[in-house]
Amino acid sequence: MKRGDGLVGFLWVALGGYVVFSGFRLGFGSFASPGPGFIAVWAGSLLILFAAGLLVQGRRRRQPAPPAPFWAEPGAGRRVLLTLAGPVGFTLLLKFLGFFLCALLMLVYLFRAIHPHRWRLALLLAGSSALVCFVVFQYFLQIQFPPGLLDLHRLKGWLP
Amino acid sequence: MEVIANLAQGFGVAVQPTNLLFCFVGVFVGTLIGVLPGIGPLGAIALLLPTTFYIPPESALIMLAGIYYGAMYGGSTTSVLVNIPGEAASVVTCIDGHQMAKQGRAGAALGIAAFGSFIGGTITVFLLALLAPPLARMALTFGPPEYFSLMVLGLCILVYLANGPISKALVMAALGIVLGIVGTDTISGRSRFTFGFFELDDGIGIIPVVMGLFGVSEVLLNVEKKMERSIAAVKLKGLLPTRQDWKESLGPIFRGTFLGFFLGILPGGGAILSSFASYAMEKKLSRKPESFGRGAIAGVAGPETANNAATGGAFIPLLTIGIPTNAVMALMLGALVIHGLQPGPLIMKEQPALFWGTIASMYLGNGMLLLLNLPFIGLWVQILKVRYTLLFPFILLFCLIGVFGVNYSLLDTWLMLGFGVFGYILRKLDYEMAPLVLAMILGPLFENALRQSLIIFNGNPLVFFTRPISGAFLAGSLLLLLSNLLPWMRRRKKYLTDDD
Repeated sequence: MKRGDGLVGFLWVALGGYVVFSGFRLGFGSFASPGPGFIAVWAGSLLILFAAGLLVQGRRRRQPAPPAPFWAEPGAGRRVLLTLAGPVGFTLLLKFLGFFLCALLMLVYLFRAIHPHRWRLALLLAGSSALVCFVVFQYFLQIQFPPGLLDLHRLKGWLP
Repeated sequence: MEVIANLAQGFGVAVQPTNLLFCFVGVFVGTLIGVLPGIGPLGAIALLLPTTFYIPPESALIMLAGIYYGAMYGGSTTSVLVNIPGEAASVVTCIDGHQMAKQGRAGAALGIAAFGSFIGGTITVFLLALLAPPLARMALTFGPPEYFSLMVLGLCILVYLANGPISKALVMAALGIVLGIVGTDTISGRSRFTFGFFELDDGIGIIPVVMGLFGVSEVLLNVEKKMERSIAAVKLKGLLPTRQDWKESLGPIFRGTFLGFFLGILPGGGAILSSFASYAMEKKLSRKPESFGRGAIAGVAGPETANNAATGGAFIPLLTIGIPTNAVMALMLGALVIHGLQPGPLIMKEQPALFWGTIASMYLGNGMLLLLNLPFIGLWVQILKVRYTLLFPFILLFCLIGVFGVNYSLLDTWLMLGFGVFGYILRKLDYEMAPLVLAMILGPLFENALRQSLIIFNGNPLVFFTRPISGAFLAGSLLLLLSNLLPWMRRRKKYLTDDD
């Protein structure tokens, strides 16, 4: 058993309860004419049942040692949060800055923030990759990213 | 005769220059994905799915299939050289493959893995061509109760095979069904669990979920620790196995082919199960079982052949019954649906070019893999040396591009990040993600089959047990779940007798 197992088990029970409640509100119907909430009631009930089993199992099991910590290595949680900040920032800024700038900033940040590489390498890799991705995905595969600040869509006219 | 004519038609499609190109792209990307730990075939297929919108469906399926079996090949390279499986189906190859590398026989291990995969893949193509038509005819006799029970069986097998505790796998399967029913109810037209987001009316997209659970969460798990890989000091001369190697490997290769193929057909089975089953079988049949774990070539040849053969077998239920047996196949189903095609018993008649073209391309793809993996093994070793700290920002960027590119929706990217964190937490708590993904994809099919059955049979739930095929599927499911309780019952009995 790990630290957090019990809490997650209770969350499943609560989620299952919500799904069952919503299923009844949507309309359970009957066996001969199942309503839109029919499967939700059954799936939610199963979720509660299995989660309850998990909780009971966790309580019954003898614990020879205290539960293992969630993060085994020091600084692991910090590294995870720093990494996550990259794509979160990308998603937040995509509309305003556009694909190229967002990709460039995210890559530079990720190359520097977690296991830092030299600035020159980070900038070179991030810049060239962002440009290649922009040309391949936006120009060749025609994925419509928001134009953003630089509005690099105008470059399309210059490309063959 | 019919099989030969069908295959000839398939080869006609597969050898078209564009299809050859897509097949090559697929096997190349697959090998790359297999070599690089951190993103599996599922993530790669999800990533490349948006690129298939602009190409014909047969080319799309040929490329995606290439990624799948290419990853099985590539996975063996990291298993042998670094003792890190590139993807889950190559876990078992680490045991003897890496031992062989330490003994200076990495070349022979990689060589036999490539030849075994090629032989397995080739025989599988013919088995597929032989078995698919009669299975499709049988599937035509299936009604909604049979489909429902088959999906229950698939989920039970996946739950049964889960690495972690079965109770956690069951929770994941139930949660997957709940996620699968988000969106508009097809019968009543009512929105369910959409919370006012009109983007969710069509349901939660499978791509953000898969990319989050397998791509983002994998990155988060990896950045937690310091990734230090040491590549075994390998001699990569002698890639061609010796006569003695062949003698020891031919049996495992042929057994692995048939075992892998038939386990691949099973719902919930697939490459992972096949490789483990093949290893166990070879160890049991060996005259020198003590050599397993110390560099036995049969321990590489059997599992590597089996996992490749299983990828071919897994296409049978998808293309004949329309039911994906694992998460990768579920994405293939998604790709076909995006192109307006519904896999099932009729696809062979309605889309012969797609069906037979894909099968034939697998044969050509296996040949390409042999050429890619043996002469260019040095290149793959160089790629292995790329540090993960340089790799993971690109994985995240490709995940973001892949998800955004499907619907141009920022909600999808938020969903992916949410599922990434969710998957990261759950994987740290030993939950397995595969039952959730499969249940989520099967959810709507499962619900339709259940509701249709109940409506047709006037609300009689016994219909699932009284119809022979459906009853057999459900009995199999029950047996699987009960067999999981046996060790617990034995422990309980021992505990009670000890107390006495």
